[in-house]
Amino acid sequence: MSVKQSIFISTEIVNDEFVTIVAVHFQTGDEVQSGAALADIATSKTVYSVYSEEAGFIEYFCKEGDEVEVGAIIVKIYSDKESIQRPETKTDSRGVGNFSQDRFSKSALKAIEDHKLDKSVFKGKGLIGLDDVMEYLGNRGGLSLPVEVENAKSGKISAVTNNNEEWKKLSKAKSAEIVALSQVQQAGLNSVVNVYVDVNGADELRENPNFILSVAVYETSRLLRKYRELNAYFVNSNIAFYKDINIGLAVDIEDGLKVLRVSKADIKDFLVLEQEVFELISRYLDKSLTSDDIAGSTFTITDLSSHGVSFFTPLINKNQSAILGISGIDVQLKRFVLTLTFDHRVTEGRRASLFLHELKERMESHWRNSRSPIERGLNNNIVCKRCLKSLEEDRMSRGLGLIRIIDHDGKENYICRLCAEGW
Amino acid sequence: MMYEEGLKVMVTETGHKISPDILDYSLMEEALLIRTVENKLLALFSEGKVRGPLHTCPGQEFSAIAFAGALTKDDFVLSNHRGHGHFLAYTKDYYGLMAELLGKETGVSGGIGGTQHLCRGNFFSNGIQGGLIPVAAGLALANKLQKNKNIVVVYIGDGTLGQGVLYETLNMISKWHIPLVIVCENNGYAQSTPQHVNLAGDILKRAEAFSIKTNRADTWDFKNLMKEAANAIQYVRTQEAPFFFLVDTYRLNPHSKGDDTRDKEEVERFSKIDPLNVFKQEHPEQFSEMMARVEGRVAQIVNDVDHKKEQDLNQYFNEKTVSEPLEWKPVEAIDQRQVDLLNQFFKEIMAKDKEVLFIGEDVLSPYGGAFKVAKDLSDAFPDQVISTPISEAGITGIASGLALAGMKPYLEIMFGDFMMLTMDQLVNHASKIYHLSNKQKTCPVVIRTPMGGRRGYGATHSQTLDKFLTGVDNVSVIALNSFSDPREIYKAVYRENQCPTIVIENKTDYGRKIGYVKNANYKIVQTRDAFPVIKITPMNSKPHLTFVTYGGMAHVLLESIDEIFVETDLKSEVIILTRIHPVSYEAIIESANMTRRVFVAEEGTQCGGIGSEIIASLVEKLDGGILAKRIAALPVPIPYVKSLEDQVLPSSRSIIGTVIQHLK
Repeated sequence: MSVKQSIFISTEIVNDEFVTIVAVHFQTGDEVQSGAALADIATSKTVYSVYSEEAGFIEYFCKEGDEVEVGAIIVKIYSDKESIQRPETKTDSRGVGNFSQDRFSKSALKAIEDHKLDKSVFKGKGLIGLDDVMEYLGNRGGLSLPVEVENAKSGKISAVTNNNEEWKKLSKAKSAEIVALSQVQQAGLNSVVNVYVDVNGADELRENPNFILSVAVYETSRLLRKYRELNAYFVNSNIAFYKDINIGLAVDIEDGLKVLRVSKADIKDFLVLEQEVFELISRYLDKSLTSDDIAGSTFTITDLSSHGVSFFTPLINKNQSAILGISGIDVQLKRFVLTLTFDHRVTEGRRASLFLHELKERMESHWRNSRSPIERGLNNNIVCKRCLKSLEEDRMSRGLGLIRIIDHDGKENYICRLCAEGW
Repeated sequence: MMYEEGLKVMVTETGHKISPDILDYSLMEEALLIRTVENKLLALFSEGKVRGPLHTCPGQEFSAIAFAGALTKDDFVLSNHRGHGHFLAYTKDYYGLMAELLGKETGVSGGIGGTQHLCRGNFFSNGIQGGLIPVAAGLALANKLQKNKNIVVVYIGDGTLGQGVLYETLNMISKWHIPLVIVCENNGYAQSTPQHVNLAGDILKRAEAFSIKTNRADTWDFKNLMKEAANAIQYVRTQEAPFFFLVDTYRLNPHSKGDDTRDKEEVERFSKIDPLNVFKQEHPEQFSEMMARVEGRVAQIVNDVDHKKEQDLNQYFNEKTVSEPLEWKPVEAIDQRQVDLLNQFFKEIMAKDKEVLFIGEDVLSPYGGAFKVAKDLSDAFPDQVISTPISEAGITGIASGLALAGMKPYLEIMFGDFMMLTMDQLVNHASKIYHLSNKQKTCPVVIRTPMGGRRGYGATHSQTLDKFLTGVDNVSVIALNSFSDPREIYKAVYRENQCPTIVIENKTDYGRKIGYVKNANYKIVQTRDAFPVIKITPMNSKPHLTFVTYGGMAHVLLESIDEIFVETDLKSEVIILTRIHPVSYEAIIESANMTRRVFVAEEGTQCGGIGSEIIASLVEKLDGGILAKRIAALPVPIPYVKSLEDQVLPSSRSIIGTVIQHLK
């Protein structure tokens, strides 16, 4: 005779006010076992399932495609089937009478009249004020419609405003993307620098499609220790510097744009990073990412190299100050373009250029060093154990020389100053 | 030590029997020690090391010694402004007293209490005349309920005979057979006023009128006094009945310091018959030998405590500013009336915990209290429901004493208006015990009371006097509403209570079901806190106005916000507080930061009210300007006639008018 479990939409992702019910797996009245998946829920960043903690009889307060507020109860599990019929359990968090009683403010009504609008377009909105009317007018034909919310995934057409237009509600993910990208872009103070990166001799490219990306993550994360303002963001006339360097990988292959996080990339070995990039992208393709995989990056790299674009301008993500874009390789000229979009409020063109140039040098050293010792010249037999920079290269870049070390195998070896000390 | 056969032989803790002569000698030395401490304190006062008033007891020492000598360490002694002798005779903590008076952190009350506020173990004193009498009765009632045979002695002076709470307590201790000894030290003066000016009739007959056993003795024949005191205590302990003991005595020192207007000859006359002075006359050698020893000891005590340090402010007061992130959860509607849920809570908790007591006027079955919260409780739990006489101050003190003794009293004050009769007990006693005991004792008494008008009860049964209660430091004030499950709130009170707590219920909410918002354009959520903040906010859009309220006003506000929206185009969010003192500001700040327009609505009047406090705090906490307005009752007594009452209390109509006017 009692409710054994009430499941409500918990605050998974703080920015979300609504989530979408992607699927419900039972029907009201069904008997479920403990641990059964009851519904799948899409937040702006991920899809998760809710499970029963108790065995019993289930009552849904939502259906597939519903947009449900965070905090609302979606499922109750009862000890017996009869309880489902009890009248008070029909009352959800919204109290008595879960039907719409739309109210228009006087100013809203006047605006509706002035613009000769049909009041019914606001059906279900609840309180309709002048703002809502203006938003509707401003958005007509634009990004979003304030009424008749439908999930884009279901493919339903929500409203037809005239014969020549067909409107479709944006997906949660797309809406979240707009919010995330709007923040830095809105200030309009972004600038862009580009540089060519020579890929002559990069044999690894044939074996690993993510090789350039992995090198970019590795070298960028190390450079960001020096260029701290690029691992930061502008806030209220301040620059907030991140302590950790978490590289976000913007990928958009099949399942929509996602930013995958590589935590503390600056302290990870190249091979570890390469493996992690591989695994993240595999999980993206498997759709097995968790919300933890996609939150908290501090600098984003977007790799469109597999799309054959010769040049593009990436958009800076929310709460970041720069983004690195990797364009496709020009096979004939054996090079690709690296683009850095940066927030001019936290740095300026000269610093951005220095960063990009240094990055180019470091990235190129990865495949330059893979040439044979003969190609590299005599002194190139002495190379940094970790980054393979040769003594000759060090001389060319006006370094101090390599440090002689005893490695863990007890053998004499060399390491460059950067690999030994970091930035 | 304990006494055998009255006073003839005294047996020490080691079993050694002392002859009466030697006993006298040791009693003399104890009295002399108390007197010497008192005189030393007066000297220290002159040196500027002791502050404030200093009520010393020379002349009255044997009254303290007589009763203390017959008590055990598990008994209680409660005293008054002139309590040093009582304290020393019972606790023997000379160091603790001296350190307290010198303001040291090692003092019995950490230097917080001083001369009139001493707390140590089972000893409490307070400077309010008669205030501790009902508290003593509560402690004694707890002893009786716990069947531990311990008793309580409370000392008053003849000046205290003017206090009403004494007679409230005499009535209850007699009616309920409470093992309490009231010792009235009759020194003939109320501060400087001779007794004949203010005292009518007979002192003992006052107690006898309540069928309380009485006795009378004096400090000049202290052997008789000791015998009679022991007999009285024996009677109270064995008979589980109260006793009123009048001790005739005389204060040889001024009331405090240098404020003596008494006839010098009179003082001289009593000085001559003072037992210590007589002893000095008759045994000069023994006296001076004893005096040398006693003075040496007192000097040693002063020397030992003088270098001790005083408490730091952050030791005494450390304001916690823990700000929890807001976490909202849905409110589930409950298809039961609030009053039935309250009744349900008490049935459950009283069945589970036998220390929970339901105390109040008219609470027995079949009546079950004026608002029926106590319905059927006394049938189900006859030992846990106490129906009291109409004595709000007295029963508040008794409930405080019960709480102090570890019981869990829930006191019902029938109408919120009557809370004014409890104020001395709340302000001067219950709320102060934690600090005056140097944070060793708490008094988690719970007082429930219904406030609010709209029922035609008129000026003294309709008020919302919450603002007087939220002004009491160290008292938690909770206000129920019809949106949050009252059982959960009371469970939190039961679980977390560490200080006196007042729970304000609302008369019009008693009949309401919980969690219903009769407007589908708003949703209702609450925080996960023990005392949740409830938020009623537009379903699909951001609010433009913040209303802050609590209790029964929440309903009135909800009836206003739709029309406010239609007229002003501004959408409202209503924040309903459950705890109104101290207030958690996070939810209010979150909303105010968004809307920058804040209205605080209360059913009480405006001046110095809840709205004033919340808006002032908000202005301090927010970095920018907000538009703020208080909504409150008009500053006149609440009229009986409906048409006027409707206009004096904030109504949806007047709120709509006020808000529109203010936003223009």
